Amino acid sequence: MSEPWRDLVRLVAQTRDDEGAGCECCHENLAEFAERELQGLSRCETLMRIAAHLQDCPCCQDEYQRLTTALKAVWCPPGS
Amino acid sequence: MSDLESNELVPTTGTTEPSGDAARIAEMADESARKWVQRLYGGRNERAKALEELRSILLRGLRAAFAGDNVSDDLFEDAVQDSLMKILRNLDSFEGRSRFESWATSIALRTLLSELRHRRYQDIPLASLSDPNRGVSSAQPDRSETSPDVQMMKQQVVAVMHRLIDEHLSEHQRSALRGVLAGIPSDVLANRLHLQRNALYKLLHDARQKLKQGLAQEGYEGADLLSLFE
Ligand SMILES: [Zn+2]
Repeated sequence: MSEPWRDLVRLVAQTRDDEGAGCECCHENLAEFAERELQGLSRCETLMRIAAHLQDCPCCQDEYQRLTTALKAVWCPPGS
Repeated sequence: MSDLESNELVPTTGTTEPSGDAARIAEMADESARKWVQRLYGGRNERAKALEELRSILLRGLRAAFAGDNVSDDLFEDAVQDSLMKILRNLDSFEGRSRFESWATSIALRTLLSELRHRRYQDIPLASLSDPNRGVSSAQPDRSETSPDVQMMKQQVVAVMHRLIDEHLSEHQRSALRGVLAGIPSDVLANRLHLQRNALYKLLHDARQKLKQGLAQEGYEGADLLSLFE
């Protein structure tokens, strides 16, 4: 089984009934979302929709993971 | 970009000149965010110093986020420079819902990520879905240690997927799925299909829902598929 088919089947299996936030809405709110997640703060309704979108969209998920890494380096630089 | 004192980055004309809005800035809960925005709306020298500071923050964030991605120093520097321009152009849209540095970092991150994705995927052709055996027995060998029964079940699911794709999806949806199968990220794919990224997301979401429903009608439920294709 090639990896792309495996990924596609998994993506299909995880498809939510509602569409959730779109990629642009996700990007606009990603800084706030990542910052609050890093601090363990609660999510408002918009951020809940962002969380749902991240489960649904591999590209935004990639962006989120990298942003989290970047913010850790920005806020807690190595050696600080 | 080594000398911001030269004000190369400071926009002087057109839409890149931030206008400032005292009431909006005053509403920002975070004192530090307020200061950043005030400095960037401020006089030429003040703005240049703020940009130099921001530049080093963005570089630090990007280097961490793309460690291991083999990104050259020039590309990091170019991405940061582009990002600083975008940040200035979009300063009016910063609402202070996150710290300023976080907001700026998210813009820089997307700038570099988009550039890297376009470079990496621009020449990759969309995978063909016309061959019903593609992905079932060809392409890469299965490296997981699964039994012949599991292999057969996986092949059956993929065969059903092929049929559903052929029978239930529009040509537009099929094109988008070809892109997904080729591993093309959605921002690049949207560009190639001449769609906004949100429109592509909707198109794919509808396609995925149809496939999910079709699989369920054939007796393949989401949870079972996830454990079969883990
Ligand atoms: Zn997305």
